[in-house]
Amino acid sequence: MLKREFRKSYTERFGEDFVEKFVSKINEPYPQYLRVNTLKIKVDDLIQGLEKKGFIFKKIEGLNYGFRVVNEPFSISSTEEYLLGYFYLQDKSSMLCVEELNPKSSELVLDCCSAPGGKTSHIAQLMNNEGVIIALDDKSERLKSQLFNLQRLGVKNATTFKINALRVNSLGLLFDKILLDAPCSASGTVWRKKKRLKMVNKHEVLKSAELQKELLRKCSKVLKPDGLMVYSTCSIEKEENEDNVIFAAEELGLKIVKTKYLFPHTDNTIGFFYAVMKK
Amino acid sequence: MINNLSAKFEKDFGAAPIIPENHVILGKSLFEISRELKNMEFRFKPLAEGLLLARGANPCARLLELNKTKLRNVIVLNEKSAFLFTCSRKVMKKGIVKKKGNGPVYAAMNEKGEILGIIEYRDNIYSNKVNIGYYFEENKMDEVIF
Repeated sequence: MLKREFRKSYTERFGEDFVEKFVSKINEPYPQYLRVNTLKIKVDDLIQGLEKKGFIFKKIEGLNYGFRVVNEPFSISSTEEYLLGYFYLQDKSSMLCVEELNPKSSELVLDCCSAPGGKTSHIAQLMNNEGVIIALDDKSERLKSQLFNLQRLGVKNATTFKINALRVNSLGLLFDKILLDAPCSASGTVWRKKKRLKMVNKHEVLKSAELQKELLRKCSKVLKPDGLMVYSTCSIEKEENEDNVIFAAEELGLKIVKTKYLFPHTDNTIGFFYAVMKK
Repeated sequence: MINNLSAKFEKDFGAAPIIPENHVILGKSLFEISRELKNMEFRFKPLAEGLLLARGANPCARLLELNKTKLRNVIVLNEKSAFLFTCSRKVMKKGIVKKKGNGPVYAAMNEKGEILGIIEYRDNIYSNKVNIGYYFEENKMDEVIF
């Protein structure tokens, strides 16, 4: 199921039984998670309202607004609650990495590669719609979705620019916090998108890694002294993750506070990586 | 722009709208923004800033929500009709739980008082002018965010 080059790499890095457990898990149905949008509704009010319609939820440990959808009598995205922006469908891994950013309402926060706005809206929620978020992306179609999402979710402290994140310095701003959810090979998303198993290749991984290094370089220059950056990918490749963290520490002088991998068979999420870094 | 918006809003819904103090106009769009965002200046024009309140003289859901208690022309829909309304269907008379005011434009709400969109009454038909379900309609994405 997995290409041989990746099986070898995963076995060497994560152990003998990793591949078997990983492959076994991704053959199970992918779980649905939602984040309650506390900008618009209280957690209990939403959950109770949806439970009356037959939905069943299980709370995500450590996140009082995050839930796994255990029973879905009909598509949850066709509910009024969804259209009214009371919740956002988002993988647990994305919620956890924004939690690590821990944005405060007095801060100036950058969300690079922001579209379609899921993490941006989460940041806004944690900031209680105060302060300022600068959201950048350069893909027109995904930006359309972002504008709809931010509107639906009631986000009023975010400004969206159609700018490639490599040109972030042209804004002339320095940020307290930066979320760099970098474009990547997406090798960790195979549980959700099986076709990635055939599509992802080493050439793509190496090309992504080079772009990510450049993004890290640009972002580190617009991070304030003592500022915090969270770098994340939905990849489980060393070149895009550990190697880039080493680059950030050795070449850019960032202090690595924490790194974490998330896997389908250990964490019930897509494959994901994040690193918390300080300047 | 705000004068035109206020005049049309008062004509359609019966009262001049309350517009948040922290707002900005970008092109023909009016946005509600955070206090901190109001104090910022940018080198480039953003695509969007904050929460859309109106496009030209056309109010968005947020502006209706902020002025909910002042609206004179309101139609409240039952559960089934509210769902169909968010699928861009027109409104059947049997789906109307309560009607307030004389139109021809009404704010559409569900029984919980949540804003769903705008209804236009003409030639004995309650048509769906705009609704929160536009998110799902790709052909609408180019036209309007409500």
